[in-house]
Amino acid sequence: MEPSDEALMLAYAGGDAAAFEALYARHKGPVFRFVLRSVKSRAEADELFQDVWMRAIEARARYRPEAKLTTWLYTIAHHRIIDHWRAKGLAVVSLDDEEAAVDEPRAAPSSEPARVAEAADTARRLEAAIAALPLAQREAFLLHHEGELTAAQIAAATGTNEEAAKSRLRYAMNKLREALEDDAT
Amino acid sequence: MQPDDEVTRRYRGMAREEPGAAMDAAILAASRRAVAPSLSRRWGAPVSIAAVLVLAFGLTLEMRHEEPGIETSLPAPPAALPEPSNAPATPEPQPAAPAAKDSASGATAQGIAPGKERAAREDKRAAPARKLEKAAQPVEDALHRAPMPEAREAVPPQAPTERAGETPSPFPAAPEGSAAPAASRAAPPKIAAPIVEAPPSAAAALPAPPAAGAAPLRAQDLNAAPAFAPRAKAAAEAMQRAAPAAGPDAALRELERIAGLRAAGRDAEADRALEDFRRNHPGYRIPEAMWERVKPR
Repeated sequence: MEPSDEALMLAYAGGDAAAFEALYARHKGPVFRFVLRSVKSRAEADELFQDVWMRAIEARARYRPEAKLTTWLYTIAHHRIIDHWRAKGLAVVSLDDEEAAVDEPRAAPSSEPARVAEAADTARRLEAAIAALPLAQREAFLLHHEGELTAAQIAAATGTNEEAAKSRLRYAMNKLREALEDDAT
Repeated sequence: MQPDDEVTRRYRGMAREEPGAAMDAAILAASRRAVAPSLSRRWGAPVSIAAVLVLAFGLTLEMRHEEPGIETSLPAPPAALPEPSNAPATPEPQPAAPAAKDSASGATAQGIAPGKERAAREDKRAAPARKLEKAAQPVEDALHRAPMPEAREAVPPQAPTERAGETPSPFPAAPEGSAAPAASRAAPPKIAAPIVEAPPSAAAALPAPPAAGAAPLRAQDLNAAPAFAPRAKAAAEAMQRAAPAAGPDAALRELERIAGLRAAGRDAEADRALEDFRRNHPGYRIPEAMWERVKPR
């Protein structure tokens, strides 16, 4: 039986470098994709991804096993992405209704839903639809599908309540479903 | 949420991007560096302990090395002054007083080197007055117990300055009155009085503490006579300190009276009289023979 993420992190905090390697191997892909699909370029994703893991390494002694490791790790990633957007001068508004979502950072014009429907490849269209989501909804979707976090864990990682996290996730799924259905028709 | 939702299924089918190998290597290297025991962390405590031990050992060695220097500032035990080879003003003892010579030679054997005496004298010049008083106490005690009663009784009162200037020859065993004019002629009464009591052999047998402990006084009083040899200076200084308030005859008479009380078995009275004598003559040097007769029993 493989050790849990929490046990590995505690072992690493105690000086076991191999424990971190195992932990990194488990989570590097999901964390990378979460970061990559939260920003617009691979270069930014690389920078943010490395920064997230560096912060996790520095904060190893402060980790407490009461929190699930993935929640703790994605909390670090969430804060780093927020800092990234703020550095770019983009307002990050954590609103959950459709009306307010228009104020959040949006994807490039090429990823508008109308353009997404024109994409030939379904995966590319889905990727474009994800990129077109408001930040809070996109983040909730990615945390659920990449980090496999529950609504409560998403709420904990993003600093909101569980109901808001569920609402974000529901809106995101509905939009993406609509995008795929439009493509099918 | 629907686990088998079309969106989820399609998302699983998307490209599974991964960080580059260089990124993996950089992060893993950073993770290893963070928990790798550094040289300072591993050897910090042992090196610190070793440094403290070396420092403590060095300080101990240094303190042991400095101990003799510290000791020289303390009052040396009573010992005779060294024999200056060319001291014309010194009332040097000669074979005229064999007993005194024996004691003097014995004391000389325990004496300190002239160079060391000089160093001690210079140290004493800088010492505080309280220390000097303490250092002078053994001098007075030694003067009280100087074993030269015969010479003291035999030698006439004589000012060393006068005799030193007149003749370097040993003192003759002259009657008491014969040298009195000389003393009254030139020497100050305060200095002449104790010197009258001090034969040349006594001067020779003076212990080292007077030279060291009373150096500031000597520097003041004897600067006018630089030709004096160290021993003569010490003798004069010690005699000055030992000068009683009354004349020596009065002191001798009182001692004779105390001796008479002792001989009569009136020890209580003798003790009181001896205490009074000490009070009245605080610096008086009681000859050994007299001390044997008057000391408390």
